[in-house]
Amino acid sequence: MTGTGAVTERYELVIGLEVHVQLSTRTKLFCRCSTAFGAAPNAHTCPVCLGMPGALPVPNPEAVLLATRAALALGCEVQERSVFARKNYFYPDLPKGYQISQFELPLALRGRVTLASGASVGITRIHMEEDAGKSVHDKVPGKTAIDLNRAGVPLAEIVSEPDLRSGADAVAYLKWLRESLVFAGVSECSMEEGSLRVDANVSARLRGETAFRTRTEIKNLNSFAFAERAIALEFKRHCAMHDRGEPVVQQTMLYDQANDEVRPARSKEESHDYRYFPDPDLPPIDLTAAFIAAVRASMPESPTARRMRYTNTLGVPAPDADALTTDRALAEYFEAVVRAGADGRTAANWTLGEVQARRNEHPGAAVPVPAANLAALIALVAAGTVSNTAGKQVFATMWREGGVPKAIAERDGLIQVGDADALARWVDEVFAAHPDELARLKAGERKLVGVLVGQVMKRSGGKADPKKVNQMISERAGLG
Amino acid sequence: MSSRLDGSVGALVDAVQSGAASALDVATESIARIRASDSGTAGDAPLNAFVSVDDDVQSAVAASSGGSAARALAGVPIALKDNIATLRLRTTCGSRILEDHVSPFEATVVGKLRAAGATIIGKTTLDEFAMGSSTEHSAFGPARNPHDRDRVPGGSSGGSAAAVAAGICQVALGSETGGSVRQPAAFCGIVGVKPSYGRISRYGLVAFASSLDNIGVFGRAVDDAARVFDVVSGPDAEHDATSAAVEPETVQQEPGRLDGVVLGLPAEYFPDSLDPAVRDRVMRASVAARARGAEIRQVSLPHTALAVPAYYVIAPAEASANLSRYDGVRFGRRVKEASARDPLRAMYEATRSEGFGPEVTRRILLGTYVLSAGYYDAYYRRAMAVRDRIRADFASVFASGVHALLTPTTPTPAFKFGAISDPYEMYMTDVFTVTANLAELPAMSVPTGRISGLPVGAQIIAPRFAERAMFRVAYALEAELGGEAHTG
Amino acid sequence: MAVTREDVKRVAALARIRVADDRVDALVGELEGILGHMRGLQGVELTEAQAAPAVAPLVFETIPESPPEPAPPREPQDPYFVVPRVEGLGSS
Repeated sequence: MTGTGAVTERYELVIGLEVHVQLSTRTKLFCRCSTAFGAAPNAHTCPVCLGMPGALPVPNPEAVLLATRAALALGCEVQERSVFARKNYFYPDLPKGYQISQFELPLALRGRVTLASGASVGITRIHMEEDAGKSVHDKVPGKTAIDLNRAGVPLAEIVSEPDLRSGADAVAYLKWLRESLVFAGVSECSMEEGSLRVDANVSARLRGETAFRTRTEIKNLNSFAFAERAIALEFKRHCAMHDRGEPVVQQTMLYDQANDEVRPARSKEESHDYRYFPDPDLPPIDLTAAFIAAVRASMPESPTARRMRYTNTLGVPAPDADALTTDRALAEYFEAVVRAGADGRTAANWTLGEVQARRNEHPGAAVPVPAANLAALIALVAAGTVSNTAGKQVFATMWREGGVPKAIAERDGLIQVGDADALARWVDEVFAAHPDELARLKAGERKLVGVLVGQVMKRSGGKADPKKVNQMISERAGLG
Repeated sequence: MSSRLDGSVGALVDAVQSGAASALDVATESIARIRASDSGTAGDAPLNAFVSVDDDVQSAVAASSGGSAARALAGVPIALKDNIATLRLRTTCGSRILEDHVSPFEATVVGKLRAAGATIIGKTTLDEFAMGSSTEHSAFGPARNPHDRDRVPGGSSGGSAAAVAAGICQVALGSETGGSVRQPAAFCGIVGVKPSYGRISRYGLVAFASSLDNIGVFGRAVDDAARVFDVVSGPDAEHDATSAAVEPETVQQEPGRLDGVVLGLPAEYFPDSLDPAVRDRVMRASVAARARGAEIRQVSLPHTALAVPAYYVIAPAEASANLSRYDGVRFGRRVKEASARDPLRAMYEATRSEGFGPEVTRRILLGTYVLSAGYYDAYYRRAMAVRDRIRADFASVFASGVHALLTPTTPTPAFKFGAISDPYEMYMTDVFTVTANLAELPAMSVPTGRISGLPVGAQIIAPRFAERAMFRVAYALEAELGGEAHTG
Repeated sequence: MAVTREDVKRVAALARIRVADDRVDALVGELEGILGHMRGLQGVELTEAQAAPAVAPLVFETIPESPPEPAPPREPQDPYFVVPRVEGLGSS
């Protein structure tokens, strides 16, 4: 029983995640400095975020608002009173020698999400805190250079219960979290720019055991794939140590992408003792029921709720519903098309097909075709007034030039011909030109219907109604 | 030589506004008096009330926008405790670690003083980071008491008190966390005012213990202090989240009677152990209040004995965090250390160990201890509970119809340099003053007589934000006592 | 609860203050001298009301107005603060 398969059969993986997201405010949590990414080092600093003697923090209401939105988006209970606290430790990128965070009274408590796998994951708490600066080790030889542009940028820390039991579930939880927060306009959640950061607490225990064993914390996982990989490696390490009867030491680990290994971070000489206490420079934050209700009313529907509604009441297939809800702008466009009268399934096809293809070519641009015009086009296609192919042409024209679909179809000669006499004339001509195919069709080679329909479409310049042509050819060939 | 500086602030402002005096001349004379106070020519030891003096008087006057205009403090020279941030002069906090530190911004109160036409003449001596009761913990030498230069001026705002008492200026700003304005005011025989917490913006006051820190005002007379108080108080939501949102009532007023006013004498502030001479001088104030129509009532504040222990947990705890920013990274002194396995840690430790004096070090260690794992509940949390009891004590007395309390400011007059070496004994000199800090109440000390030539102060404590009522009592006491306030 | 030499060393390390060996005993005495007086606090019961805020809370009743413009960037003379080399972890 030494193979890894056997080990993971005997041991259960336990994961809890601590996620930091940057709240998308324009200014820092306690001063008016910009939060813009990519500025010259220390350009966005002032006496407050530099921790100069005599400077004082003043809370940014926008950060409180966004943190409240985060809490509601993740289904947590927003607390009437929360209190900022000081977390004390020395580090050169921490200007005051303490980080302003929340400790005993955080902004929100108790959330829960059920993942697609069926796993139920609790959220312990969400609190606000300020970010630290950045230590740069390659700018000055032999020294560390400190850039405090990030110092004081507002973060929400989201702490999960140790409820996750697989790396895949951890990733699913992270994706849900990111999607919900981006949707709610709380954060960009960009791992590249550091606006979403993940630490994973990992432990292993024998299946059936009720107590948790010692955990280690893997810090600064900078992609979902690396998170899954690092968790897998660390789980394996824990299992092997348990098998050998070696104690797991509670410590901080780092994932080294280059070497694909998890190794201990530089060990600290002292155990952490953060000496949290309420920050006397800051009043308690009281969120009234009226405020929480107003924030709730301003929240967009969550992706999960939307997905349910799309599949259950709009008849959208589940994969399409998933695709639509990855992007709030796309989902809202789709809904506008439905509101303008289109059927849900068809509107989803168009939104994910023609609309999405063009948005991918022009990222960030608004959709120039009003939803009502797409709905009108869908109606034209459904009525057989224009073919599906011609409809795509009309849509392309609307995107490029604007205009309403009917007028474009008429102007460009894309109105389908369904008149029996006109269709019969084209069918006669095609039969005359392709006697062999006609004979084989009559002999029962049914696939040739398509070939002959194609020929009619070609002869009609795309205007013939393909359904009716199909029917006519089948009848005339005696296939009923 | 009689001078504008020897009269009242009101008279000086009138003279400057009418053109009878110039801001430049007054400031020049004030600075000359600083020089004289340090010269030792009269056989005295140097007063050493100042850490920095603005020698460029012309620019100092020009920096105030209203030298001759009709402004509340036109032409009034003022000294600031050297833990209040200024742009023109360094802000050392009496510490080696900030010896050359010039703030990139100025305190809200400094902007207000300049806008009101006051001239900032210099920065005054204090105990390092305002931790002390004597200025003996200044890294740049202690200030001396003008009444007896062998004695301390009190602390931590001792330099400001000494400057006013010595006639260098009529008014000064100090700061207090546990009595650092009222105690030196009492020791130097002047008026010292601690506002309600939140009444005067702390922006630019270098923090010692944020929940207890206040900027305070010294004046030679009650009206001098009132005029400065009215200028520097008021909301500052943009810079200080703990600033009170309500505009204060003007405290400057005419002295009047105290009919209908009930003054409480809390038993715990007149213990059997109190020096009878001190008790006698404070009772002088009580008699004066009664003569003006006040009713005197005995009251009790039962948790008073726990105030000093609670204070010396909370204040060092907050200080231990507030002083973590002095790490040598971004400003202030940095001590380089070549050695070391961990050069960063070595830099931190060398900087902080050489930069901080023994009292600051002691309080940082004490504060770190009471917050550390396993001790937080036993010390910090209990101290906060005591703080609640002390607030409740005051609230219940004020709810019973008492308008203000009258107590001694300090248990003794000014002591000699070196007389108190035990830290806790020194802390106990704050026994009557820390309560107002813990309960966020306004309080002030007014002169109430002398013992062997040394001044004694009476303290008035009022409900939070009742500064106008507190000043009403102070004006009446000063008027009634007259010369008795400054005689034995 | 008496203060020990280890307490002093631990606390000094946390506070990044170097205490010479010959100062440790003195500091044990000084801290013990002070903390001894603080033990009177132990008799005080912790109540619900403890830590009642002295400062008026920041009350949110409506969604805040649009946020203020950020301050313009400054041009620092020395772009970075430079310290002796740090290895390993960033903070947080």
